[in-house]
Amino acid sequence: MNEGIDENKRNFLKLMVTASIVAGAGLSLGVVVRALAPPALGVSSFPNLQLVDSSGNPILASNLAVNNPSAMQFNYPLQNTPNNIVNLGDASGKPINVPATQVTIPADGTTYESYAGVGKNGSIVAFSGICQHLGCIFPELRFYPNGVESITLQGKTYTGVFHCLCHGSTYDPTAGAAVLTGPTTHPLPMVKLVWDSTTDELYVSNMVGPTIYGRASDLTGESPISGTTTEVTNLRNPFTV
Amino acid sequence: MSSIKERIEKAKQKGSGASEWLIDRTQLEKLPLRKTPDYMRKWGGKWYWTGALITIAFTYEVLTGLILLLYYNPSSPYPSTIYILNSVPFGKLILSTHLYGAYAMIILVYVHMFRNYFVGAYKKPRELQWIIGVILLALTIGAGYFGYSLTGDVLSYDAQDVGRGIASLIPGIGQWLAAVGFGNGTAASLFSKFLGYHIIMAALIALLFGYHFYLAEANTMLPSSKISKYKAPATTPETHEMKPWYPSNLLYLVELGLLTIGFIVLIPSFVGLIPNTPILISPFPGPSPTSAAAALIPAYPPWFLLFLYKAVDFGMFTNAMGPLNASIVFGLLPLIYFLLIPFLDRGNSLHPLDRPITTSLGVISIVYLILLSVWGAFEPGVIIPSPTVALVLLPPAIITFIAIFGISKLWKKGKLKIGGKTTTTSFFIFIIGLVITVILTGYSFTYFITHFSMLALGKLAISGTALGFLAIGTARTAEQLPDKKLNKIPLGAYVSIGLLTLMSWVLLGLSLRLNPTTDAMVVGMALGTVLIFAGIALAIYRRVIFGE
Repeated sequence: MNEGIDENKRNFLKLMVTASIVAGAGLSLGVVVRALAPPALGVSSFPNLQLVDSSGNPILASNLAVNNPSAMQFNYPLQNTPNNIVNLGDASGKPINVPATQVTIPADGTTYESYAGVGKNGSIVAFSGICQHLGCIFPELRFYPNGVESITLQGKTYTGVFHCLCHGSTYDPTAGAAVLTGPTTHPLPMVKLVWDSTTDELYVSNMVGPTIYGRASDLTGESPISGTTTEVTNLRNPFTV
Repeated sequence: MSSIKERIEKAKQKGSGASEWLIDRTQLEKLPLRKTPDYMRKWGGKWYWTGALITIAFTYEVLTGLILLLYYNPSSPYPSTIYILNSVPFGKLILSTHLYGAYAMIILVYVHMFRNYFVGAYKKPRELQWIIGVILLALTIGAGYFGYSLTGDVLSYDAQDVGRGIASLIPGIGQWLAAVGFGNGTAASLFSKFLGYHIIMAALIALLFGYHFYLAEANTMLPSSKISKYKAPATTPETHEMKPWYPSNLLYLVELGLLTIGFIVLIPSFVGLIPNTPILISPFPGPSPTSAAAALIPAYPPWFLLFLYKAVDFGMFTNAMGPLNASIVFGLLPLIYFLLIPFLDRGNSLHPLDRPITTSLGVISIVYLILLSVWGAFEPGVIIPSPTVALVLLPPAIITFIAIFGISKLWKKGKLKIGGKTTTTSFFIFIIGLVITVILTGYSFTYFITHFSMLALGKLAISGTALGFLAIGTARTAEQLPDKKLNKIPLGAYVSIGLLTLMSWVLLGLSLRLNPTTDAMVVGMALGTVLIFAGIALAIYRRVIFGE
């Protein structure tokens, strides 16, 4: 029989047809790969939000009780991103003035400057409510006001600290939530509070320190908070049954 | 013939190491799939592959449906639909092509069914295969209804209100059935159920299709009339003359897949770029049911249920039980008729003119389906008095019966010679003529006078379709392609395949620069075009190498 078709010519055609199918398959695959990943959520810069209660009324700095063991939390800078706001006091219940200090990140030795406390006595501070060790939140990560003792795994006791019951990480809120005991290697990120002395109202406008635990950046990974306020919720006092 | 077979054999032996390994290990050559004669793979042999086209469309639906399932939330149906549309990369493309893929599947199911109806494919030995096919039609429409209603737009609420209303009318079990189908009244229970039923029906389609396909393989394809001589049972036994399934049939199916999915992607992408498309054909969901825009939209069902929707407007169905009765008369009864046809038409003749009653009823079904759908689209919810209904529906039935019986008589006496190839063409032209006649004379002439632009559009579409079928009818001569011509690859093949490949890659490159959310439909145009180009390139390749 006449075998007229040159195999090389045939293979050339085969290659071209395969190339056009590959173009179609490749583009389809590209569409599917892109479609499988949902669009990133977040905001482009830290929002400036006012702290309000559940009825939308402004939170007044003077109404925040000193050494309050109840968890007072608000979301910032995105939704589902809890932070604790506390009014620090000494053993006698007198407010502690918290100055800005240099905080060291034990993981890499870098430092940053924390924010000073706000309010009439400079004693109100706010930190991320997500533990930097493995992401535990309230009621595991909680505030131990002066007089309430936390016991670490080493048997050492602390008071006036943030302590996480999951693995025992302890943070010092008077020193920018610097690490007191591990296993965490990062301080809690600190929220910048702004106090309006004429109205006694509180605002949040920025964060400093490590990235919020579990996030690629502070500003992505959750839906933005709509509006110009964020609600402070009293979760409960974890030390009472 | 033999030279092509030799060539395939030789190509297999000569195959490079990697492809040889792949073919061997994938056991491609031993797939238990039927070989088919060459004429089925040639131009004009597409009628043998309408089932394959449905399978391809169904596969596309499953793949895009699974992606949508990763984003859809039945507890907030409309917001999650809008999120898919506006935020998910290519979400707009995937959602709109999922919708149009379903449309394509429904149309192809009808084409597949009526084709096999007219050629008598339901006769021995394919009775059960046919019955399962009719059940698959019902499931496809069901899955379409539930899927269409998932968006949570105004049309989806309309569709489920009507569905719930009809279900609750069924005596005795109505209330129970409404609760089973539509939940306890909360939106969350409704959409959870609808999502469940949509997926359950798709799963049932896959399951029954498996058996339908097994029977199709076991019973073999219904051969061309030249071979069957219009007598049942007609089968296509495998012969050694037939080319092996791999590569001939595999390449052909890849070609059909590229072309089918290409059009499923291209058409909604194009329609989606046109502003203000009518809501019935828009590839995107309508407005939210609570929005102001919703009030302006007629309570349309999905277009594939428009025929039932219009029937509910008929004078005799305006009483309380009307919607149920209309569904029984125009939905259930035809379905039962088609289920039972293998036992009603028991002769062994496959010729449409030898079965004038069956053929007439098939033609009337198509005419009513199209007529009622068009009617419902143009006059949604307008009550039609019973005499007018009779005036519209009776003439086409009478004309069809008289015409088909007349032609049949002439044909039986040998006074009329109708080739198998002209039958299809003349059949479609006949229907189109019938529709035009009915529209112009029987019903609401004034309506079309007042909606003149619609009439002009309709005429254009109808004459275009007629021309298309004429072309199909005359294009059959392309089948005959002498084997010896194949010994040289024509220059045109290099040029066309080369150009198609080049343009595909150019389009691919351009698409990569576009935005996945805002330009999704433009990428869809490119993707559809690239897939169609690849399909055409493969068609040319099969033509010059395999002579098909």
